[in-house]
Amino acid sequence: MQAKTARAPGRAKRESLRHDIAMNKGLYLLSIPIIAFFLVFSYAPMGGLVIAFQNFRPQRGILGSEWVGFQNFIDFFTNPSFFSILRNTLVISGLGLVIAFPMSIVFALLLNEIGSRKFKKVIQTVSYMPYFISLVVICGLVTEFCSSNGAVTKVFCAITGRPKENLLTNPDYFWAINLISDLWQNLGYSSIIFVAAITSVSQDLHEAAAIDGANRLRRVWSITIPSIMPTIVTMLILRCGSLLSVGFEKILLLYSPSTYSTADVISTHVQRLGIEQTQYGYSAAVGLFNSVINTVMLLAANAISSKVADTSVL
Amino acid sequence: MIEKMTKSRAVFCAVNYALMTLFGVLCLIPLWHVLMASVSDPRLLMASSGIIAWPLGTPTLEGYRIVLSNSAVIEGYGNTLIYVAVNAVAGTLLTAIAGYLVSRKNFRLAKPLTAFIMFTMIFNGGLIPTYMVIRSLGIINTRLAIILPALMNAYYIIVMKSAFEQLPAAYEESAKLDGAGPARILFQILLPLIKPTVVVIIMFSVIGQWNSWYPASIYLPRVRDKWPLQLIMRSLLIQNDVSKLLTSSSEANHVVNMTGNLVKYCVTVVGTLPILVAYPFAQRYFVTGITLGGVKG
Amino acid sequence: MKKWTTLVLAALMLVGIVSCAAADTLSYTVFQQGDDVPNPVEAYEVSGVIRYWQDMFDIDMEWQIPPQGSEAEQMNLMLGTGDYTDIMDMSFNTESLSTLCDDGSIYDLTPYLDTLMPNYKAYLDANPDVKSALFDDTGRIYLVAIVQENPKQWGGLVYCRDILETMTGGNVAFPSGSEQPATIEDWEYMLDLMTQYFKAAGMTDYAGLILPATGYFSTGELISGFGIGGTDYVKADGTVGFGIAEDNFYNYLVKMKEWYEKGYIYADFASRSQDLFYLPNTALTYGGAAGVWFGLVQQLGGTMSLPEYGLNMNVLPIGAPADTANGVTAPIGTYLAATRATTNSGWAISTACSQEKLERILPALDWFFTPEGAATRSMGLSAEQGAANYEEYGEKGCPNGARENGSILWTAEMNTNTELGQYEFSQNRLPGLVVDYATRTCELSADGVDYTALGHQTWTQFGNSAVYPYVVAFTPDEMETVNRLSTNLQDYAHPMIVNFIMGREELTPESFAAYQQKLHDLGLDEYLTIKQAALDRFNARAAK
Repeated sequence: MQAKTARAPGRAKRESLRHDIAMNKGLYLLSIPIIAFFLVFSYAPMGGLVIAFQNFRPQRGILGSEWVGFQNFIDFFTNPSFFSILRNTLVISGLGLVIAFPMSIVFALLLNEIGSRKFKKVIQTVSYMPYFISLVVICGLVTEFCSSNGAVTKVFCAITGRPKENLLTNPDYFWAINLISDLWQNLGYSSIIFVAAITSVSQDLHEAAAIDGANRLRRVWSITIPSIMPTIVTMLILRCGSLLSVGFEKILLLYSPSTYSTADVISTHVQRLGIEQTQYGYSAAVGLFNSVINTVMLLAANAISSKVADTSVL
Repeated sequence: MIEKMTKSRAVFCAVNYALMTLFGVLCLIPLWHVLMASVSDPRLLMASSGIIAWPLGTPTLEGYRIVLSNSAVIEGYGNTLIYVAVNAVAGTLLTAIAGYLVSRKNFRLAKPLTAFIMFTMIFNGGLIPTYMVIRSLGIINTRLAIILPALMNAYYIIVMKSAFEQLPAAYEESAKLDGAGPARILFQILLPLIKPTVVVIIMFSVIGQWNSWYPASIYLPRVRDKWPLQLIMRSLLIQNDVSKLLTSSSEANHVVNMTGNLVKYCVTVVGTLPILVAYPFAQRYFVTGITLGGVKG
Repeated sequence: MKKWTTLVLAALMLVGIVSCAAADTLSYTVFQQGDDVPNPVEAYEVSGVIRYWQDMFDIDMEWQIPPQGSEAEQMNLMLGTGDYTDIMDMSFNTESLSTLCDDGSIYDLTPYLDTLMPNYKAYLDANPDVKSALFDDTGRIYLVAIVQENPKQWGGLVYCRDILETMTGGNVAFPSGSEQPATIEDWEYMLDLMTQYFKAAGMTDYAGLILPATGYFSTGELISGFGIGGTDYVKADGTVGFGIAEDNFYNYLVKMKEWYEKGYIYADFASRSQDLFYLPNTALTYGGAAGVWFGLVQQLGGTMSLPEYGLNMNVLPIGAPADTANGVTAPIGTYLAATRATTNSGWAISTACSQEKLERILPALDWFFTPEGAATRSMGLSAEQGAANYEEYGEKGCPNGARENGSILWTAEMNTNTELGQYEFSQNRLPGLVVDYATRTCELSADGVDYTALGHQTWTQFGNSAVYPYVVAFTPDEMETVNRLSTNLQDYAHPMIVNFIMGREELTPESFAAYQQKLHDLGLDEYLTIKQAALDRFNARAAK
């Protein structure tokens, strides 16, 4: 390598690439199917993104449809509810990032502290189950519990001393209800990856530290967490990259006109405008906007973490 | 346990156990509710609200009879098994290869390849262009349309990558000195070391395929005999959709309405139970993962 | 090895060619909405009527039934990718038909009417209302439609008469003196009795009046008693109005707010999401814990009773209450079902269908507009048509018989056995003229009352002249603007309406004026201008 630095940079690059290929012939060969897969199934369809700049008419196709420049984006930005849906989207996914995400790590750590293997297994299995219940059923239960006579409403009103009301129709509570039901359904599932990471932390390190007199909490702090840090950071970065993507199915099932002010998010907006009314170009524009913001967030999170935690996804 | 039982430790354990038990019970509630509702008297079910702790009326298997006497459900089970099996094997292998490639530090393509893969996580072409590509491959209305596009996704590759990165480079170097090629290094040496991650990935892809219905509804419109279970289930689930009642001329009736509600619960059970039963087996490997202890040395 | 393969292939091809040549039957792919049966494809294939019809014209339908819930998406995908079937059921189409034709997706059927579809043409000429609904502004027709000879309203507001009887000991006395509730006063009398009844029965979960989650019925039920329509309606002077922006809407809101506070309105109405599993709340309506809701014809009379649980219900249709205090003497008409044909119900022939096939399918569909074809399509095969011959195929064994002297009756058994009933009547979704099912409806009412007629009469007693016609056609540009504006208007109005009623938003003449102003700011005037222009064009066409 050092000998080559004297040569012209372009040539060096080519040279070292050739060298790399020679060195890693097997790796390059293995790359072929991977690259081909993503080229075909992900990149080829991306050409379709251009319809964001069109008044797309399916029958005329991409070539035959009228070009409208940034009109679809302007329509979105000037929509009267643009700011409120943007805020709602950020808050709802932000809450997931700030609360649900750490909770899944804490849950995995707590689970790891359970001594009885059998009990641990039971809890792990059980906590995972709600993930499989269909959303329709889960949302039906949430609606039931939060109705003016529901179990949750009764408990909540008894504690806070408020008059009984349907919690789900109060815009002030929507974020909380959405977050809590999310935790209920997904905590077990989303902690799996951390449980798996924790289980592969070396027991030798723990034993050595115990001999040195480090107590449990200290060992968790200085051994377990650093060991699973790469997993945590990776997951965190990925979550940042989907900050603007909130699944619409659940919100669609839970929201109602009375809570639009806090519950309407970008995806439900697109669902109402784009899908029900077949405004292809508009939906594509909103989707593209979503993707660009998500990319920015992902890159930012990645840059920060590679500086701070020395871990990066890219 | 490798430490002494101090007082604070005992308190912590007690609280921890209590918390976990509480959470476990909370998680079981919806499941129990669904199970009990699925054997309840349909008429009473219609008029009930809140959690069902015990079957309403005389327990009945009528709902299950309706669901399981549907030949399409049985066929769907078979199809789903095929999709799940192929994806779990082929998908995991490819994901492992991809994860391995992007985690190689001395491989010049690793970084660009990572970016190349990550990009697909965020941008996608949308429904119609994707359909056009799949169609131009000539695999519409074949099982391949369900299997191929789902083989890999960026998320699993990233998970795999971070698992590989935690392994010390020493393994690979010593294997290289022995003259092993990358495929051998990957499959014989490195992969067994990250078994828990592999199991997790397998589980993710099994669950993913098990619950997937959307691609089938798009790419298999003309071959009902290749539909996976979930798509058939979904048809049954939304069978008593009120929009249908509103558009159909006058054929709606109470029986559809009534059993429809019951069927909704039975369908949930039938579609969920197998994966719930299978899950603890995968979980066993997590425990094996503990004894393996990740990396020795 | 290679030789063998080639030989086998050649043999196969030969067999294929021979069998194709031998069969003169033409085969058609059909994209068709399915029924709520376990195997919808089979349902079409075993239908006696469909097989009889196919044999008669030497055609064979290859049904492609989209997964339920994905129909609209499949439709868009098919149109978006050009993967058309020969025949497309347009139930889930959201595009304008004239645009589809201009883009080269579907046939313009106008030139074929004279030559290939004389019966269809004759029917259209004899029925100008159907003709104006199916022809567009350019004078073309694209659909072989499902035409209702005598459409009946399928649903509307209903109330539990039995509760009132119980509470008054059989002496129901509405303040207005009429038999059925007719004014706001009558409704308050009724809702008060109902609320007392629910409380006395110790019910915690009950609903006097179940409103939709938006706080009003957009099709105009209830609100029409205040002299306005739901969203779009046509005023007496022929102009298009937006009900929830009219001055009279204030009176509606005040009344609903008052009723909500008194507990007359279902406390959880606003949480009922638009998801259709929750609407209307079946747990309450079927449990005898609801007073007034949007019901279906099938719920009328005693059909919802559960004698084994001591629940005897008598559900009757109810009209909107006249707001006499504010000078409204009679509600305005609101009902939609009088439309006998729409551009969303029927078959279009796609350009994937060859000219040869087109020339055979059109006369076949024309048959459904002959008296014999229409009767067969609506009521099944007669003995003369050889109904018995087709029974052997139908594993479901539906009772086929002659139409006269023991025609297929829609029996109580068929009504409870959905499989049986739906299998036999899957031809209901085919195009053609739907004639009255006199025999079927009469069998349905055990107590001798024809509830279909009763419901229809009650729900349409104020006419339907005020309804904005469903079949008004828009240009693609108009359509896009109208859709965008209507989403914006409703996204603002609906939360406001609900919160006005629930008292979360202060309701005063000033706040209501601000609400109205905001609707204007959101483009209400442009919206109404477009709707008006399209309606004027429609009326001009109908007058021709």
